[in-house]
Amino acid sequence: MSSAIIHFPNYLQIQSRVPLWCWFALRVGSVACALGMAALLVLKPELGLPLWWSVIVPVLPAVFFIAPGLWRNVCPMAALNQTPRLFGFTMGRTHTRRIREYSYVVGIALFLLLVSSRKWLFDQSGVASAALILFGLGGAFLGGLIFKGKSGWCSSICPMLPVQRVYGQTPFIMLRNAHCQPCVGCTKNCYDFNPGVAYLADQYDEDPRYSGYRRLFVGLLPGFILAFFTIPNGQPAGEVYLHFALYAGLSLALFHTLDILLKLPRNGLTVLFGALAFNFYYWFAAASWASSVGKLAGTALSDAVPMTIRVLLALLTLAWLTRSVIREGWFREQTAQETVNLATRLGAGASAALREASAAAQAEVVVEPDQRRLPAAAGATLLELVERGGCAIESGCRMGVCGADPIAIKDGMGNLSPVGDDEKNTLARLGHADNTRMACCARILGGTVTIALKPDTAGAPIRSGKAPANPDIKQVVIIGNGIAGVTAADHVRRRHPDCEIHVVAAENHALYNRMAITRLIYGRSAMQGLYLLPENWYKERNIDVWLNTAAHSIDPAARTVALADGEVLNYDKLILATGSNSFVPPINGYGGDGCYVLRTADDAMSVRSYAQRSQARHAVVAGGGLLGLEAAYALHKMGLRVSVIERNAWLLHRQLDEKGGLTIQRYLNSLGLNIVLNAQLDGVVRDDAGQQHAAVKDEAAIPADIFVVAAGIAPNIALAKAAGLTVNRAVVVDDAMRSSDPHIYAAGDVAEWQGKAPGLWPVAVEQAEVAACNALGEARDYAEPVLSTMLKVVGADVVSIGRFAPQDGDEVFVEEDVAAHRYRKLLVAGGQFAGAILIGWPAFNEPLGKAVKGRAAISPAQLAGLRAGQWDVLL
Amino acid sequence: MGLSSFFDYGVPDASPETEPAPVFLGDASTDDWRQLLAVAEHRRFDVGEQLIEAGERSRAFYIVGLGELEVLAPGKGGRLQRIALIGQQSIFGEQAFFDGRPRSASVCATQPGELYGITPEAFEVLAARAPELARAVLFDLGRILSLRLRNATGNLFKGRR
Ligand SMILES: Cc1cc2nc3c(=O)[nH]c(=O)nc-3n(C[C@H](O)[C@H](O)[C@H](O)COP(=O)(O)OP(=O)(O)OC[C@H]3O[C@@H](n4cnc5c(N)ncnc54)[C@H](O)[C@@H]3O)c2cc1C
Ligand code: FES
Repeated sequence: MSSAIIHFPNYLQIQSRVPLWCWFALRVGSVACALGMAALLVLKPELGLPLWWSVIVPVLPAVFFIAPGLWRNVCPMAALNQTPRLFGFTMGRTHTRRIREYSYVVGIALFLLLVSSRKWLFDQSGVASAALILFGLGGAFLGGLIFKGKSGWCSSICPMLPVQRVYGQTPFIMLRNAHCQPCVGCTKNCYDFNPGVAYLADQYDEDPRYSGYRRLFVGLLPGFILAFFTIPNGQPAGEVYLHFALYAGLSLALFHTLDILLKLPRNGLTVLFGALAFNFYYWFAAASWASSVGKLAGTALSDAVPMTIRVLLALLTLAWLTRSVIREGWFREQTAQETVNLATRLGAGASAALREASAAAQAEVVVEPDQRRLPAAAGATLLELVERGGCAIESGCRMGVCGADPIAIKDGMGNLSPVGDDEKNTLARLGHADNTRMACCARILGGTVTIALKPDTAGAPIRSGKAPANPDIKQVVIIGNGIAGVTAADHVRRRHPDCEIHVVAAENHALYNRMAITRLIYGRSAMQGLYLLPENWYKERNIDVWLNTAAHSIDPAARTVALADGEVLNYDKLILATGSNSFVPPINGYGGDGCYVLRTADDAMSVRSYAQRSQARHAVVAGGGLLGLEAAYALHKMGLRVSVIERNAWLLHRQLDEKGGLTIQRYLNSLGLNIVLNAQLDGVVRDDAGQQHAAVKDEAAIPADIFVVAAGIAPNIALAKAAGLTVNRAVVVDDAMRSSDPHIYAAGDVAEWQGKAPGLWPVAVEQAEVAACNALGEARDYAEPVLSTMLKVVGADVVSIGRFAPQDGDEVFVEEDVAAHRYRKLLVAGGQFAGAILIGWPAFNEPLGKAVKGRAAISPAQLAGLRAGQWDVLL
Repeated sequence: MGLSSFFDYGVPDASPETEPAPVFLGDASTDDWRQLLAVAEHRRFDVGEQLIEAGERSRAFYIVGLGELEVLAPGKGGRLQRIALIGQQSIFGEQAFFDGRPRSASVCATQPGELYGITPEAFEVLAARAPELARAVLFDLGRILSLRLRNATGNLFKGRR
């Protein structure tokens, strides 16, 4: 802003050269002179008329041109106009909108009328001229009486003002306004306030009319002046006005034509026309002025005087033009910096909330490399903070088991919650540097933590130095490259530094985050973001991975696995980790265009590309479980109109009770998802127009350009079955994860332990580790962890931990907040935390998750608090 | 009203031409604001820190809680020029929030402070949780956007031809 002060100082920034009393004296003098002039014009017109019209008045334009402030300060009209303010008897009114718009126009009209009337009236009549002076003085005084500041005359209807504004726009000598003490802000773009910029500001005004009046005036001025000097005095009034109108009109026409044709800056043509008018005026007026001065003085001036005046003023005009152009450049530069007005205010409710939010976030996470600072409330996970801070980070399970969000802690490790078991396992699998944490598990406790979103690589390659658990085992084959397969491979390698490990993988991807594939649908993640292992992970561990290669058959007797490409692998131990596929019940009409399941990354990408290709608008998801809702959310985020059809009476019926199901249903409804419960799907049909629908019994057909089945999983048991292993729903395993063949183990979705095949990631991790241990001869039993699941729909905040259905003797705490889509439920059994449902209570996820998984004992204080409805005792 | 700085009369309400700054969520209660801030991204910034880079694809609109920011756009010769200042307790960035196009200007901090970003995703959560409030947010954003658009067209009009 400092440049504004240099180029366009306002009057408060202009040095005052003349003391104030001096101006007062001059004003008294000027008023006296004006009155004297009027008297002279009446009493001695033969002297008064030439003195006034030919000597005094012609000097004024030059004064406006060179030192306009001089006139603004001593003008007798202004002096009278300011008298009421000075002595405090002005009514001080503010302009109405109309007056504000048209007063200047009145000024222009007065100027044109009065000047043209000189030709037949004022120049010949002393009385009329005296009346004119008195009219000016009186009008100015009256204006000052009524309106505030100088808005009653000097800055509004004064007929001299338009001329002053044109000629005085680039003052050679800047004089400080000596009237307004203080400024009352009476006028827009006030000339007295900022003389150097007022005219430019007018030209650049937003309102085209506002600048239009000013342009109109300057456009006609040169013609008007020519008219004045090309018609002799004494013509009949009608002819005079016609003459003026003609010249002014031509001038105006020229102005507008040039305005269109020439590509000048906004004030270019106005400056040019101002200069023309000024020089036209003195070209003619110089001679009459010199002769009048000569006459009045009694001695003729030299013949060279008029030409000298003309040339001097013309030279001055050149300087004036140049300065005006330069100043417009400055002006544009400066206003370009200010043209965007972003000013807004926040409602009154904001202050307190902002203060609170800021106070709650005492801790801070700093994200490298750009040192982004994220305020943090103690207890928040780094994942939440980083996501809320707008940084790009992947996530999956949000509980430390998948490995999607490793970050490097650069500083402040001590300010984070300690590493838990799940996280420790995951960190060990990933094998990054020691400063790595899973963002979803690391909670900031206070202070500052500096992180980088990319984990550091471990210094030394990971190689277990231990003696092999069982040197007889030379070859381990693992079928399946999901989390179960990879975890098994990892644990085998950790325990056995040099056996051969083969991982056979039907998919053409290194281990990726299956739980996050729906993010591929709406483009939240790209495939690259889903990979869970550092590059070289397999190589560093000397694990052979056969991507894009399905195992074709197992020969348990020969202990070989035949691959689809004909290769045969021998094994000492085989671990089946073939996972599962989507279960598709028989559905009439299923299988055509737009019918999908969601199990692999490729499935998700196909849905995405099909939706884009076919410009699908409607989607139906059959199945209101976790996967179904996540798929529905992804399709919704793609902009499709999504319906979820669910057989049961409520959503997520394996994770939630009815109230919980209704809560999440209301939330999804308000997101815009359509939910149909107790639905009996009759099939997928295409109508005559080719539109696909889902036909649901007792419901109108639901349009389904895309139809996704999310009805549960079907473990991949074909290989095992063909090999003669005992299979039920999945491959039946004992506590050691061993199948009916002593050399074959199974883990993950494909394993059935105690009749259960829950199809969950943490289960796969745990089972794979147990399988690997036992395969190498270490005896270790699998124990099912307390399970928790989370719905990965942004904003839903649904977590279900342990069991939710009360049993005899359980104490149950329930709280529902329908308006806020919140619900919480806690089961206490035998003095221990047994299960919880949390919807919309993220702060409780961690403490309750820990308590339920650890089967922690509930304290009497906690019980008492809960019974009194105070859940906060759990935090 | 880019010219107003030339005519800063220092008198309250002196210039009847200058409209008062539009208010964002004028009727919202402190509780409403809590809800809004709860879904927002929260960031702290230091002087000179760049918060938005022209051309980037982020889509949040921002609430400045504390501090002051400047909006920078390339001027003559590609040099970055300040085109606006954003004071505390105001909002900005709503254009990309609506149209998802690259940011039109960069934003840097001139005073340390804090801001809250609302992404379309966060907005959706708000809309599901508090539809009334979300409607007010949207309406006010639209109003502010429209006023700024008027401003911009005004500038076009008087600008270079
Ligand atoms: C969208 C989605 C969301 C999920 N969300 C959650 C969640 O929030 N929480 C949770 O706990 N679980 C979740 N799951 C379930 C979780 O992903 C699985 O439990 C887990 O992936 C099981 O791992 P796995 O290694 O046993 O099997 P899989 O991940 O299925 O891996 C098996 C691999 O073996 C391959 N394979 C199969 N047959 C052969 C063969 N003959 N030869 C070679 N390779 C073969 C398959 O191609 C596959 O790559 C989700 C699943 C999906 C699809
Ligand atoms: S999201 Fe953190 S480990 Fe899965």
